[in-house]
Amino acid sequence: MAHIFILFKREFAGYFASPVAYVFIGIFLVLSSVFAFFIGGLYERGQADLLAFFNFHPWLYLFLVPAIAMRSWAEERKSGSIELLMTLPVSTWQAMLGKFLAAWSVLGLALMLTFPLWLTVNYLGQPDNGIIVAAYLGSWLMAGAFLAIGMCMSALSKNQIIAFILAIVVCFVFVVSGSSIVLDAFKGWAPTLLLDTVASFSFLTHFEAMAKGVIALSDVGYFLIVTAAWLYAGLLIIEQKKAD
Amino acid sequence: MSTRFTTWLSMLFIAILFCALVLLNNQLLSAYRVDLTENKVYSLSQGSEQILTEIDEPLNLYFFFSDKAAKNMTTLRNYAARVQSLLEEYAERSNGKIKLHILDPEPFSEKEDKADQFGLTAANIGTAGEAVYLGLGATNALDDQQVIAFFDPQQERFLEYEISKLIYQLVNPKQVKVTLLTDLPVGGGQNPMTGEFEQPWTFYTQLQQLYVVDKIASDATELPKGTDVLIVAHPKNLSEELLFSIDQYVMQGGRALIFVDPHNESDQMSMLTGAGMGANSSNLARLFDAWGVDFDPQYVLLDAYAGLDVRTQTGDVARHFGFVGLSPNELNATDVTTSNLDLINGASFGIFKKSPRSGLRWNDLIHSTENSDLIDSAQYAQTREPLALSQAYKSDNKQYVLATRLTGNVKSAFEQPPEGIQSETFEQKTKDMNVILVGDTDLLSDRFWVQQSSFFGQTITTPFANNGDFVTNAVENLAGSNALISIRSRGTFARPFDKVEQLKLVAEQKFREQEKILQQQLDETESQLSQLQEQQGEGGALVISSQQQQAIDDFMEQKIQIRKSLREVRHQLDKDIENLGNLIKFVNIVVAPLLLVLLLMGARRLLRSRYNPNKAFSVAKEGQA
Repeated sequence: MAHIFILFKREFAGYFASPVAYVFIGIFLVLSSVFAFFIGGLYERGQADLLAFFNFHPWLYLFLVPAIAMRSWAEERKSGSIELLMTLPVSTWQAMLGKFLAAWSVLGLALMLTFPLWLTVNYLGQPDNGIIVAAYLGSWLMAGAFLAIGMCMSALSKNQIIAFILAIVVCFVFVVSGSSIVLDAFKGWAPTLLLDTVASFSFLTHFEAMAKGVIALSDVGYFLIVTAAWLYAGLLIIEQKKAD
Repeated sequence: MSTRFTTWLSMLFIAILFCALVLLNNQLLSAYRVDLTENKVYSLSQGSEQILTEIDEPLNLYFFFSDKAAKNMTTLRNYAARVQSLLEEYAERSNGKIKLHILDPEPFSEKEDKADQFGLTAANIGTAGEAVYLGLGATNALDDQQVIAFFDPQQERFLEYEISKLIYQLVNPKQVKVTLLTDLPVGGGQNPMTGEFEQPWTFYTQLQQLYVVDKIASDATELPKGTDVLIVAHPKNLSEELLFSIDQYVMQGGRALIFVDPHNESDQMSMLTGAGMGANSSNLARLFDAWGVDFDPQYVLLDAYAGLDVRTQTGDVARHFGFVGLSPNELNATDVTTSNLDLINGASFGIFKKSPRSGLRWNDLIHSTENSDLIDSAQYAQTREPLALSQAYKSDNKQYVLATRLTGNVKSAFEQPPEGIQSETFEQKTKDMNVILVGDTDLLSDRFWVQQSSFFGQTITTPFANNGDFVTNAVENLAGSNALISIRSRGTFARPFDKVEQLKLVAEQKFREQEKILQQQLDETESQLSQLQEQQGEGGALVISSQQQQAIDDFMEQKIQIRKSLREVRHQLDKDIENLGNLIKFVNIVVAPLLLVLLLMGARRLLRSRYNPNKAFSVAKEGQA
């Protein structure tokens, strides 16, 4: 546990030692506000809620989270520092968890720093703050799932750009799996139970349910399962590459 | 090679495990949830739980959802899942009294026949117009049936109310008995003014179609036994005995819908007898005093904004400030009686005020707009011309309560039964008062909400306002149990930007005056211009003197200038709001991100002196050594 914490601190500080975290957070803050105001019409809608803001999170994460995740393993492998890391008295899963927690914290920090928007709607009207809290929690959990996929892809390739593109593709499938784009492929032949399960893979469905203000254990559970599964898959890939 | 094979095998195993876990997660954990919404939109309310405890016989609920047909309609599926999970919650909390059956009525299946038996109809939705059932049929032990034909996602706010009502009606299947106490000629008959035979009022006919209605007049001495809902319309000169009977009915938990009016202008008979006597007002002051309700029949509401256009005696159309049409903005969107209505028309509304000693809860159902004023009802009764009313009008900038629902604790208006009345069940107070007060009786008469036409000898009534719906909604709601009535609409309430609304109000007030002045100037200029042009026409001269031409040009120029100023005034109206919007966008998109990132950098600088990331790494290396 202590090792995970040390690694977490090292990784977390690493993000801030280079411009990565600042650029990421800056872009996230600007883009999320631009989307909320200009595409979501947050002000013109005249409703004191943050729907217009949260609605775009899955699409923002689709590009931004793979960008932050792509360097996690690919960079280590490319620069060779992975060998140094592997010689440390930390297991691969500790390293994976340390890295994941550090990046997830950066994402959490970025989310927290969107508080001016929250203040804005509270200044303009009387929003249901319970719904906003639930949506923030949902958004952070969803970011974790995106991140786990991104880190797995980063473990797969030495090339950061390839890792980035692969992560976007896989994440996209998870985002749209509840929509007709994916469901139509199953519609003709699959039983309803399978179809519903595929539909329930969608990040959108689970996130939207949480953004309504209800924290269902199944929605939280879903994001945790996705995160754990992809982190574990990443772990297997690293172990296998190590063996090669 | 073998490592690679093991890895891929493990991957496959993870994929399968992942699918299995997601499936289990969906099936097992969806029932556990925390509702963080302010109004607990997604949880069963106390009222519903109370209704569940009252179930004394097994109920069967059949939830019909065309699972297969709605395969890729994600929104509808989500809503169906929400309905199903709510129904499951009902079943779970009913201690086994509710048996829930979930059926997919596929075409030509037995399940579809069952849906037909309940009279459910499929809605044709989706790109290919698939027939989709999303309804509920329910039976009790005696095979009484109740249905919800289609769960409309637009009505999500009232989902819980609808289901609880259905359960309540199954548990209490007897027909609702309504007593209507009024002297108004609601039953039709010969008109004393014209001698013609008239149809019963439409609201009365509607009530008779839905409930057992017992109509009594003010000469009755007591209310009929077994009254479920009492409607009092325009009470006047009620005897002590009848007042006592109404009072005791309310004290014993009876529900009442009371229409009072500072001036009823639809009852020609009363107007005939009351000609020259001033307003034709209702009187229920003794009960209102005890309930802490101030209703002063001396005042009638004028509303400049909600006033209806009427045809005057001269044939013109003018806005009548006393004839009021109330739109959804003036109706309570969270109460089931008023939430789905678009328009309530009435005339000479009276207003209710809560007296300081009233211990009742007020839930206002209808209010006026802020452009309202009060006028003496006698003066109103004598005024025939709408123009005179608009001249007498001066805005109070206040919203007045025109209809309200009273619930809670109240004392009887009688300390003891009046002399000569033996009452063994005299109640001095109640905890369960449940009364709806409406400040107008004219809204019941046909002319304010239905149009009658003749079609092959049949009289067809076409409503153009929702007055009748309001009465039936209120009766249906009051006929339910207190638990049912307590279930309010929860959820998608409008949460407008108050700041922007305030700005709008200030801006409108500020510029309305300016606009008025400019408009006057424009009218004057235009009339002068047309005079000048007429003169020119009358003279028949083709040649205009240069002075005349100059004057016309000046006026044209002036007209253009004023029009421009008018446009600017209109534009100015939105400018403050637009400026606030731009400021907020600028702060959120540019200032805040920049500041926060700079702050982060500053914080990092501060921390760097205390913590060096490489130190941690070297600590780890030391650990290895």
